Amino acid sequence: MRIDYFLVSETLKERIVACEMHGHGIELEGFYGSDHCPVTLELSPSSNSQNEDPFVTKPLSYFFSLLSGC
Amino acid sequence: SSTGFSLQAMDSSHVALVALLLRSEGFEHYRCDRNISMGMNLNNMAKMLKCAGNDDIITIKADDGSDTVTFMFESPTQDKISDFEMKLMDIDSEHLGIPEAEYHAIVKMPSSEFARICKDLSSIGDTVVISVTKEGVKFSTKGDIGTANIVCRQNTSVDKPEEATVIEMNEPVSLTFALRYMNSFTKATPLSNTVTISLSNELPVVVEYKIAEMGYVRFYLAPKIEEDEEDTKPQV
Repeated sequence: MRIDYFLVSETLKERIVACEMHGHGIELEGFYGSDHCPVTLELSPSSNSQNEDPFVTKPLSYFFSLLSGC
Repeated sequence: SSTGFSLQAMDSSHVALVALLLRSEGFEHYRCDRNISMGMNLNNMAKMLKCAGNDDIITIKADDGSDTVTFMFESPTQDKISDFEMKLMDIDSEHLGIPEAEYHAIVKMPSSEFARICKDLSSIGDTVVISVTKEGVKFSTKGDIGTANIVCRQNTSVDKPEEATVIEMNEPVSLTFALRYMNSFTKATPLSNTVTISLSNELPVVVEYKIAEMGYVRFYLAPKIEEDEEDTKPQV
């Protein structure tokens, strides 16, 4: 059986709530399917104000093209 | 180009741009037979320039079509001459044309003041609202712990001109910017006693530091636009 992983960045590490493997043991008890038991990762909602940012920022080329009138 | 040495760099998200100009008159010797554009890794360039002494004479040379640029450093007494050759890189984007713009408000103030304001506000919030009215220029932010407002009134009566805050305003302006970019811009504070901030509603801000008589470094930063306003705006 192959091992499946979740890889997270350092910043996401703080938001890990749970990571579960479905089915266990050589007989895959608790799960019927392929030889890959699914794994699930639960992350907490981001407290980063960036996600709550009501603003959008357009790239500079957008503004420069406005100024050029094209 | 024949008029001078200009440099442009953009951040990865393309919302901030720096434009540096060193006019040809500012160099002891300047020659450019043909316009040439070179891509440089700035980290590598900084490594090379660090090898120059503070009082060294620096010569930058490049041939048309070459894939390297040469930095030559001579000590003042010319008993030591260093020769560094840096590989150039191919950069997909060319020089971005920056159109001229009329600005609703132009604020000129001591650069150390501006740096202090950006540093103080960034300890409170992530974004800064810069508002210019006839009363003065106001820098505002808010964060988890509260809000902060700093108002600078126009004062031209100070003894030294570089300590004055001068505001030219045709129209009131209010714009929102990410503070982390502003703080990066203020690393240019040692270049000039004063900073000029040019603002127009819904256009990028220009933060300019003059370099003695020979040029300038200008930072352009796109404003943050309220999401709601987006829908009512006509498509370009």
